[in-house]
Amino acid sequence: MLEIHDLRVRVGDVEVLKGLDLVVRRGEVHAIMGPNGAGKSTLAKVLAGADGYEVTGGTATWDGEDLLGLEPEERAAKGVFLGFQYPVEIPGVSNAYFLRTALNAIRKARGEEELGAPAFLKLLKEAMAFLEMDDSFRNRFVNVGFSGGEKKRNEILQLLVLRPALALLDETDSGLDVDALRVVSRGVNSLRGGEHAVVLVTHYQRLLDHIVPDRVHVLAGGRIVRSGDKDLALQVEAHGYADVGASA
Amino acid sequence: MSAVGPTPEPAWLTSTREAARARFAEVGLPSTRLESWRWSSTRRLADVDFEPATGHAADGVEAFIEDSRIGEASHEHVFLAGRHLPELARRREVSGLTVLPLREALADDRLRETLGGLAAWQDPADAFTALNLAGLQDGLVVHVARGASGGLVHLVHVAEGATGPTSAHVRLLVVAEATAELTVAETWLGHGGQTLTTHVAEVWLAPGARVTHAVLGEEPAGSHLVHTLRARLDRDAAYHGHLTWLGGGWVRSDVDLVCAGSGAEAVLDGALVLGGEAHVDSHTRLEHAVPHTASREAYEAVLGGKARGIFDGLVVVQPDAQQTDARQSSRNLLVSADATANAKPTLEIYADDVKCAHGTTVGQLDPDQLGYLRSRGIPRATARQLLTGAFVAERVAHLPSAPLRDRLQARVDGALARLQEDA
Repeated sequence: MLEIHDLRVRVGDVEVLKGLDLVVRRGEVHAIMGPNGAGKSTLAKVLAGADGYEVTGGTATWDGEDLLGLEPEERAAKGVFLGFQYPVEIPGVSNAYFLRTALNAIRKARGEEELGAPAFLKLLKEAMAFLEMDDSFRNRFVNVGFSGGEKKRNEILQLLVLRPALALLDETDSGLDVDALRVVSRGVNSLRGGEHAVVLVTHYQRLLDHIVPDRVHVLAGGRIVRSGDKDLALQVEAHGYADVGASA
Repeated sequence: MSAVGPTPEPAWLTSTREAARARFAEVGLPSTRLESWRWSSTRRLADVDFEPATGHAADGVEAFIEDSRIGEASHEHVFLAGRHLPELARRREVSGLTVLPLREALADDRLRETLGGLAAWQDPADAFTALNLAGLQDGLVVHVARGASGGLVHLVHVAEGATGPTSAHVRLLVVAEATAELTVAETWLGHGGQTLTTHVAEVWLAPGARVTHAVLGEEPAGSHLVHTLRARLDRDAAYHGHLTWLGGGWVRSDVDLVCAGSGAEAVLDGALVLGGEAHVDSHTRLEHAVPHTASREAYEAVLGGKARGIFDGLVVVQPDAQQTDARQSSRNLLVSADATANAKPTLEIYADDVKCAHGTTVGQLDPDQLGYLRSRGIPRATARQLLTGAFVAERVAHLPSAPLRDRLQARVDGALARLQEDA
């Protein structure tokens, strides 16, 4: 379970999160919506341990363990995964090598046996087939020369291979056409239920037609200002944020 | 200085050697006052008596080079301290391909036009080419007939200085006739000790010829290699030079490629993974002499320890050379506080309708890339190693010959691992 209490975060001189509270249980999908600049991406990044975010107060725990004091790789080993809004290009490192290194680093950190090349390849091929990705993406350099949609699909590929306990997806739907949105949603939905918790950061209701959330939260001014079920997203779509109590 | 070999040396060569010897005596070793030598002092060479190695046995060389052999090579020739070892050569009959040790090839009068035809030696900056001519011991001559496919010719050079400082002066001459194809590879190894090797490679590409030329330098600390590479590309010819320096010694790599016929395309890749006190000075010149030619030059260096990597690259577009398309880049990654990168990219453009771009970077690892890898669970040290390897991976991947590429990847991985151990 993800528990965030009174989280306060600065980026440079600006306080972006101003006492945010959120609880996400395993097996649930939560959507975080909100106007531009509300702090949605900051929330996702600070939980994953990205550089440049200063936590000035509050707590964030996963299954009772503090997350905020951990290195990013330690958080990943605990099962935290951030789907990047702008995935980073890594020339010279193939997608397959990157993913196998990541998976085995996580397994090693957990005291599990590393996965051999054949077993990994099988896993990777299955995940790629599920996401309708061409085989060529296996040996291409990570995100290099990928279109915006291909990069997002590649994030979901990583999600499927690493199968994190807590998936934080930052604007994964932006830049996707209808087909890509369908495929990406299928990937996320495959984590539904059971042990996984999913937090979707999104601007638009569109994604939520494909990944129906258990809870919807509106984040504005650095706090959660309203929470509800999936109908809250429809309400936002129809009337804007101001109408649900969040002025931009 | 003795004649080259058993074949009587032709008079033209003898007189050229005499002239070159006189010129070298006059100008001496290049000084750092010369602009093209500003980064590489030759003073360290002046105090050592390098003598041509004589008469030592090839014992142990066979085992030493075993890992460097390339099974796919149609010809493989081994040189020890500049001398060809016929007993270690491997030859496979390939139609249209002629490969001869220089001393045997000298009987052919055509050499008069091609040997030395591309590598000038009169300028003080080219003093090592004069020295090479004066002291020339042996080398290899490769000829590929019109339309023939020569496969892969591999030269393995082993420097030998264990019993005292030695010098070696060798040559490579490649003539690819019209539409011929060839891959030529050079591997530079050393047994240790103090060595000075000068090498002059000249590559002639007739119209439509295609040559890939891969150089792998792994000479150890104590070695000095002056590696001179000249190529002339006729109409629609394609030359791909690929130089990788992984050793611990002192290297001066001097490259001059001339696109002399329209449609010619020159590609030059450089990859450096250096640690210890290695010093590699890459001095390159790509000339576009006629309209409609292209060049792509990319150097990437990973520098650790107290190593120094120098890139001094010049692209020249002559007044008539409209529609030239030239790109040049030099990227340097410093992985230790004491490593040094010097980069001086220069464009000299005398035509107005051209597309030229160049760029240089010197930096450390990209924090965004490190952050991305770490967010996926990869520990910081592993992430650094991965990105360091990735930095030169593109250059390795660019080598068009699969067997050479596989061997190169293994060698580069080894060099990167040594850098990590040093760090």
